[in-house]
Amino acid sequence: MSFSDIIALLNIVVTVLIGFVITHMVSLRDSRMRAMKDYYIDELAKIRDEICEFYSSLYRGMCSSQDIIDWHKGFKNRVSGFDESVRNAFNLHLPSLSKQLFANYRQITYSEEFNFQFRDKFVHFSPRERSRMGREEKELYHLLDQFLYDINHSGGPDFLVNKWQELSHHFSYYCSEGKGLCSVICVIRDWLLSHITRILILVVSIFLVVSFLANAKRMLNTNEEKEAADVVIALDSIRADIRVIANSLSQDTTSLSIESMPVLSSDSSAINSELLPCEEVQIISATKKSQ
Amino acid sequence: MGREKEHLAILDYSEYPGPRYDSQGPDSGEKFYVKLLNPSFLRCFREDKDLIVDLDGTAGYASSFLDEAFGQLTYDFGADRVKDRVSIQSLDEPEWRSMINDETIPQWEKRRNDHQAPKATMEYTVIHLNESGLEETRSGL
Repeated sequence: MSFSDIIALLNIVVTVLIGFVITHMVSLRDSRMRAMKDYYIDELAKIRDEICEFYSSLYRGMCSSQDIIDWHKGFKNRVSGFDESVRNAFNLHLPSLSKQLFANYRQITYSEEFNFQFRDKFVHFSPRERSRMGREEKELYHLLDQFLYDINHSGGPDFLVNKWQELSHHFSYYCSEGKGLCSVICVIRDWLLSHITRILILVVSIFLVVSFLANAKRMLNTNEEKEAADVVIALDSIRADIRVIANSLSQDTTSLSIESMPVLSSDSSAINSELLPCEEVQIISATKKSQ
Repeated sequence: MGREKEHLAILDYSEYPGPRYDSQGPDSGEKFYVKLLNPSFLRCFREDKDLIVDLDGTAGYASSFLDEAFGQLTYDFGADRVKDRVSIQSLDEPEWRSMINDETIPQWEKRRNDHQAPKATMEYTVIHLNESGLEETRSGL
């Protein structure tokens, strides 16, 4: 096996590994991120619908003061959960949605209409109050649109940050289960078990590459030794032929002097035009015998 | 070493806290102040204790309820004394804590300085501290 064959084989191995990384890690990450974005965008749409419905019932005077308090109590928890979760998932830097919602709620429950009609079945807000609530509702929608845009354009956390968060969550879980210092061992065990296929592929790949390289080196050495032996045999053969020629010439000449020395010569028939060892023979002096 | 603490949970007053004034509906902020917050704070002040007011566990608050209750407390005792002795605990809705500390107390401190007495819609007598720090009574209606 020549050196170029080894390079070609290594090329195949590296191409396969790159293909594996692209298809298995990058593509998988993209599809997971898309699924997460779709989930949060769907949740955002539901929040928007609920806010729209709430303000609509306020404008139409279809809810009581206690209904407003109850709605906020339940909805606020959902929004603050979403707010926190979406920030962690996409590393967003936007004003807090739950704070904006709370500010609007504060204004509504501070109003005279809300308090004076507390006992009534329905609260009817004045046009002035409705106008103010309309402006606040618009601000909420504007913020929701910003969330939508940022979620859609977010690349998500970096691969390492993502892994770190995943391991932190596992660690917190085992700590909460009372595992104490063993939590670290549990996290490592979980990680190894969940990545067993990748680890096996990596170990086998490393083993194959290392053993392949070791074999290639050995084969290269063997080839070189064989080539050197071939050269020695060829030289011996040439020298033998020279001796035969010299013997036949010595019958016709006196004081024959032949010099043979090894030189390097290029072989045009070889692909790489390598310099090959040759034997140069020179007749230094010869005197023809008189008849 | 810190002062001894007294605990006051609004849940003990009502599960459904109401509007601002007593005339507007049941379990109002005005009534909560008169019946519970004022006597509790006064006791803590006299006995050199801290008062912890727990907002958790109720069905929710109207901002007017808390504004009236803690506003009247500030009006009667002054912002410095209230901030020194009262700590508000709210794990469910921590935003109320910021509202009371950052907005209600400063606004009602201004009212105290301007002698703008709180509106009363029920009969009551509460004790407050005047500018010299002496106890006086203040009556509603």
